[in-house]
Amino acid sequence: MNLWKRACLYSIRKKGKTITLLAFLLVMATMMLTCLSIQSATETANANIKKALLGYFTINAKHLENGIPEDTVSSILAIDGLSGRYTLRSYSHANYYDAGGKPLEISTEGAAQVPEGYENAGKIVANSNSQEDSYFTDGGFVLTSGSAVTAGSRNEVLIHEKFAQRNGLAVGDTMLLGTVSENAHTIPVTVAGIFTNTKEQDSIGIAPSYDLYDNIVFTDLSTASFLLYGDGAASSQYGDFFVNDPDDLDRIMTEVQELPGMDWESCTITRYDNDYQNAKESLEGLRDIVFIAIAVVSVICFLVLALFLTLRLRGRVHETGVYLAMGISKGSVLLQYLLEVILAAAIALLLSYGVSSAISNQIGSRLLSQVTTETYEAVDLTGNSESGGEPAGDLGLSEIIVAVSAKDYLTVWAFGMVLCTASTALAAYPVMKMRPKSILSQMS
Amino acid sequence: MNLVIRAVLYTARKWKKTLLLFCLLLAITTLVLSGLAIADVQEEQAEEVRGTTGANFTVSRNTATGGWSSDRGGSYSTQEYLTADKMESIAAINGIEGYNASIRTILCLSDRRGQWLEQMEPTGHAIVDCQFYSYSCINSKYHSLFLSGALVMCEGRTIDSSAKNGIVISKDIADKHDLKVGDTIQAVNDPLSDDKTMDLEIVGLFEVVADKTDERNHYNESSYYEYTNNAFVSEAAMKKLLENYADVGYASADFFVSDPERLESIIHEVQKINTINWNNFFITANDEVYQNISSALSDTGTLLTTLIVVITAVSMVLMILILSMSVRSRKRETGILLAVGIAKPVVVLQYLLEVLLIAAAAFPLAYLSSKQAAGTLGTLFGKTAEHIIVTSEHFMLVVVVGGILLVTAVLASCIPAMRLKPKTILSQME
Amino acid sequence: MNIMEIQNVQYAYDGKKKVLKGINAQMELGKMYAILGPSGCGKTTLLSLLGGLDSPSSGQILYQGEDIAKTGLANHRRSHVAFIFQSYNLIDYLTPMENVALTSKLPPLPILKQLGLTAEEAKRNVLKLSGGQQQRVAIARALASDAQVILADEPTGNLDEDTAVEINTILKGSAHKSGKCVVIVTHSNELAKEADVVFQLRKGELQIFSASNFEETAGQKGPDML
Repeated sequence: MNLWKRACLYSIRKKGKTITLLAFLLVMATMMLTCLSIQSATETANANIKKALLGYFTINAKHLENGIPEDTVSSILAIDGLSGRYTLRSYSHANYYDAGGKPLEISTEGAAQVPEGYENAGKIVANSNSQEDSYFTDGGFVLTSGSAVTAGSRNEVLIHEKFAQRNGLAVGDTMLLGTVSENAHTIPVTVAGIFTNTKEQDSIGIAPSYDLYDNIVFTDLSTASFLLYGDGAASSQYGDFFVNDPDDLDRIMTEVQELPGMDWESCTITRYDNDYQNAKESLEGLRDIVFIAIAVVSVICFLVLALFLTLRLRGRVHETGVYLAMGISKGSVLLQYLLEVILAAAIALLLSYGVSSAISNQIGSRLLSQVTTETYEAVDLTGNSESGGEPAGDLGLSEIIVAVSAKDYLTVWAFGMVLCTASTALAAYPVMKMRPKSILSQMS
Repeated sequence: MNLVIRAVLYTARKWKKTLLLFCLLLAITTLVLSGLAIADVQEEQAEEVRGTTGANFTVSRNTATGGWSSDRGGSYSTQEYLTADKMESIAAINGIEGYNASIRTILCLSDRRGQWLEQMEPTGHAIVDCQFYSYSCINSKYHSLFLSGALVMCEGRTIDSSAKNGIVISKDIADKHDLKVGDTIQAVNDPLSDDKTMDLEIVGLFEVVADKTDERNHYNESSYYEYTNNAFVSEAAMKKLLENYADVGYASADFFVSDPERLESIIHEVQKINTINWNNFFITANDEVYQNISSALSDTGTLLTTLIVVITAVSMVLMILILSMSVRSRKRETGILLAVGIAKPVVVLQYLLEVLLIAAAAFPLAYLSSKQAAGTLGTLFGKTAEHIIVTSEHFMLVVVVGGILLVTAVLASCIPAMRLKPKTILSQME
Repeated sequence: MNIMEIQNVQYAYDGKKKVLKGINAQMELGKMYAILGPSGCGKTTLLSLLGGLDSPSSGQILYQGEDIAKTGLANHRRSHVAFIFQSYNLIDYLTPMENVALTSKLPPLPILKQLGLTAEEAKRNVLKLSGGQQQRVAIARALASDAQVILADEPTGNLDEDTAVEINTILKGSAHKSGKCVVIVTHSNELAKEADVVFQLRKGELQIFSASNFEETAGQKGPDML
């Protein structure tokens, strides 16, 4: 009778013992698989946190004759590690005219001076999204009517409430923006929205006329590009590029500066990852904890499995003696025991895929319901209070999937088989070392 | 021979089996204890992460509900300012970590000999070149320029209530004029008036990190001054420097909370302070960073908690499996004991006693080993684990739950053997 | 022809207490031998040495003239000898037929039937057989193997008198009819009388009697004197 048959018969006839072993291995394998899927899920969560901390770098190409051209923006966005979220900005000055070319009136009250040539001019601010401009986010500007200027806008402007009143402009009206230079050229624009300031301007008495809140006009990037760089160009002065992982900022910034076609020497590239730097240490602590948890589980799993198999083999000392007395070699007996464990392990591993997938689904749906029910409740303020900065809309975070990956499954298979073999061999060692006679005399 | 002696004898004589069982219980208990400790420290760590997001709320005077007046500089609000006692009553609320409020002015700085300190890029106009855009700070650590990382302290300390006549200037200016931390300089608000000139001690120096030329920063008064020409002075000093000006006060103050999760409840508490007329002030919450990361952060928490739950559940199952195996392997012994006339409950009690004897040794040792486990594993892989602390509460929990589990497991695994007649058990012997 | 030979065998536990002090004996096929002696005199030790479960402190055990220590103990156990134990030592998760099949390629049922088991009993859980039946299975397992030498350690020690006689007859038959060399360790004079040759172990030394010879000696001195 060969050892395969012996191993199978043992596994079938000793149902109680086989089921215990199977249950044990199943529980172990499921725990390991669940741990691994949780670990990769926490990796995703961690990457999401890093991404949500919005690390970015800013290219200041104000001193370049042609700014940042469109194709450079595309090349930058193609660099690995960019989140795809970016803002382009340009700042300029322009003379304001009505549709007929008649200069529009600006406010001069509180101005430190009205520079020569700027009698009908103001500051032009262009942003991929006017709502994200610092005047709106930090300066207290709010849109009172119309809509914001966004990346898709062409020839649109936002004007101040008072400027609109003074010049009789309303949403939908057309005006002209002209360059403040000798050979002035103009571009017609439509008033898309009207804004006002909620905070008083603190630079009254210091600011020149064009910087007065009343005289600022927000426009789209292509209009600004026309004013700054002339016809046909689609460039911007500044670009803020967000990255997935703030730890990659250095690498990405180096790569950016290796892109051809730009005079990077004349640009200033600044990294902004203060929020990440603040949280970095604590975040790493959190990661360490996950790691330690998994390590503790793995090590103790190994211990428990080895001990369990030892306990099991010790109950079979006598049987071993009988086999040896019959002249069946130690190797063959050991192999039989090993085979029994491996058989059970194989079944347990197959089953554990289903079980841990079910558990992972459970966890996954828990996370999902958490997102739907617990999505951040914006601070609910009543009375004389308001909520400040809005959360940054869609951050493009990855969905956290708790699932048993093929890689994890293979790892557990390999790990499990090695573990079973090693612990069986280890547990069998004392028994195998004994002489057959002492094994038989040890029988109880 | 009574059952206690039998139990002790079994434990001692079958020491190899005892040792195995002991090791198993030890390993499993260590696992659960470490798990509990990790769950706790995860809570703390997540709280720490939340704390780094700088969540705050701003209390500002409401110019919309106040009166207006005007003079040569234009119109200005006559709404009441935030006073020190108002700010202190808000800061006293539990959960507020610190606060800052600033009065901005332009100070002319000179060295002790009265020589004006020149700006980094002088304009050539003496009266302009010594002007520094200055903020008074209750706690400069919480000043937005430092919080945003635009400026970073490089030497000395920040301005807080302990620095009575302190000033923090940029390293560039200090280097330009050969000044260092500890030196005294002079400041005056308007050298052309009878404003007081004060001696200020340089307590710290900052470096500029942000790109000030980025026009994104040019939306307020500070735009017209380079970051290097900024200065931060003590609140008390600013009061004296501006004592000729009656209409100066705090228009707003920023209060920082340690846990953004409590921001809302703290704001509600603030609004209940009845010494402040809330018609004249309004509150703005700012926890954008926290809002961005909160869902991902709570995901991490949920995942880890689940991990611990899985570990605990698995440990329970393992414990039951192991005990049932060890009891079942003693079927024959059970038969013999029953055959010699020992009552079934007594036999069960003996087995229980043995297990509890082992547990009594394993549990306390697990308490010690789990204190080691996380730390050792952590340092082994170069991770920090110093905060993972197994508390006595964890231990009590494990002892109680573990004890109940052990008793149940032994009782349950005894059932099959107990239902048989002694003869059947003996004839079924291996 | 001698199938096995014991030459000058000494054995000591842990190198101290000598249980066998230079023993010599020969065994032939077709004969049944009994090793007789009081408890703890080294009977089972001698049997283990013959079976290659242990090796002597000095001296040699020869099988067909070759030292089993040289040809390999495991090989000796596998090919030359078969054990029968007092406690049967059947593998409890195998049926009688499977237990027999452990050592043999022959169909196990005829052998078991020959020894008095029914076909139904031959497929039953071995733990559900009576002691005599279990021992029959153990003997069948030994007989079915290719082994020429059957070593039995108190094979009837756990059995009632009638069954013991039956088992004894089977063992005797194995020697006389099947031509095996059967060595039985026993403390029973009655059983020893059935053997062709009796080895009496006393204080580590071996006395050899022929069956008739032994009956006389035993009759004179009585079993208590042995």
